[in-house]
Amino acid sequence: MRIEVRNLVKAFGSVRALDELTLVPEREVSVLALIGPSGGGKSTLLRVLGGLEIPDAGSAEIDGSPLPIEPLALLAHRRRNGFLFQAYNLFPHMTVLENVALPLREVHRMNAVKAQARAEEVLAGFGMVDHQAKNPGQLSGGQQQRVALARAIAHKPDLLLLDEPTSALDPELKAEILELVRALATTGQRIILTTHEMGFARHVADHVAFLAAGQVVEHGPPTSMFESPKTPALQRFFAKLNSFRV
Amino acid sequence: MEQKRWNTGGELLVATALILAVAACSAVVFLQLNYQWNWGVMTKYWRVFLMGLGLTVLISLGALVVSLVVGVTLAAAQLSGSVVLRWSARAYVELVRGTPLLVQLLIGYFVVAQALGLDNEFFIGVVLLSVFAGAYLAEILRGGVASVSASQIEAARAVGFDRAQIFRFVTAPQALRRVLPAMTGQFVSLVKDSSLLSVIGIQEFTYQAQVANAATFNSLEGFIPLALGYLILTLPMGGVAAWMERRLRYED
Repeated sequence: MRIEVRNLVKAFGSVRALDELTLVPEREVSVLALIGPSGGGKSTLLRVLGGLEIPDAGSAEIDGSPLPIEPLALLAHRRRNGFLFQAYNLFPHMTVLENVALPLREVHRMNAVKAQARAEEVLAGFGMVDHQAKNPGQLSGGQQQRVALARAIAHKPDLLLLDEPTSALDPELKAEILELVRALATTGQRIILTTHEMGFARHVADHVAFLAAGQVVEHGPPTSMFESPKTPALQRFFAKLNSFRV
Repeated sequence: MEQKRWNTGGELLVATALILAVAACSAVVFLQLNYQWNWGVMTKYWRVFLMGLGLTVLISLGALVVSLVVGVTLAAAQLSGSVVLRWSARAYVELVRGTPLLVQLLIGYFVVAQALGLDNEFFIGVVLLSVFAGAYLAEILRGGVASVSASQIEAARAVGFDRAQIFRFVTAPQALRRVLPAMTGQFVSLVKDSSLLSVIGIQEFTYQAQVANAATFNSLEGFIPLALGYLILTLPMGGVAAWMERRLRYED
């Protein structure tokens, strides 16, 4: 996909989460990773691109179509995409199956039989079919995140947006979720994610952007970003990450 | 979750001791009164009690439904985008919650109902109680809706629900479970508060108990069946609420 973000501004009170942010990769991107310090604007940019937040100023285009602003078009935009949160955010009062099947029925107008079949199919793909009658509260964090991922991709979204999908998980569970995301990427699923997993950003993303203080400080293909960071800010960021390397 | 049962002798012992203590206190109180109990003549008045209880049940049921309508309307108004609606509902709730029910009944009956020429006691009783309980229900419902977390609303937006769908599939079911205990408490209060209607001459349970006391020249006998009658109405409500809570339970 072609991404063109120009002079994007989003303020919360007096804090400018996005401060005239511009990101225009010169090539087509399939998996874009947003990295950088917490509070640097990664999540806000992701939420704007996902249609969950309306920017105060600036423009964002994906494949030439500008991000909508009017509520109905924004709703349609959200319905085309899939979104995964750090804290899973499953609906606790519904079963696992219903978490996936309900949006298929109510948002994507599938009939009940088709919706259930599709929900079971994606849950089975993530090894969660045995748990489909449970409520989310009965599952571990890693299992909940798999269900949330199933919910985010069940309707075959144009674009999958992942907001720190593994930050709340134990290390070995992180690896499981990242493996699922990598598998999705290899099927051609277009993904934008924020992450603190540098190994994942390096090996799965085909474009990486480093955000700090609401701006893109540096961006490029992962090899050049990770092997020869140009800006002092990115060099310092990597140096800090590596200070406790095993 | 496994329900806690009475499974140890210790708990049984404590319960027995409590019952004995209550019985002993009651005995002391009644002995101190040095009152000549006279139940014989009272038993002839069971029909009067039953009529009163019947009207109390009818008024309570009517007020339960109407107060729910009032409460939902007020809560919706307070959560709406319109400033006028929000402020009007707010003013109503504050006015009702800031004044005693007894005062509302006196004004409602001797001023408003008289001015409008109303004299149906069932209708007046239902309306006055609903005006009162509706304000409290509105606060409970509003709090329940507000308690649904922002992250749940966000997840609902992210899966593509529109505003109505968010309310129907996420906000309402989660809020309902949280407000259920408080709402049951409110309905139990409604039944008990209906006894104040006796003050404005509505011939419900408490009124009839006083009638029976007066007619038999007794002063106290009527109050015992009165208390038991209210308990018979209110205790099952707690049971129904507990059952509904179990059905709606899920782990957060």
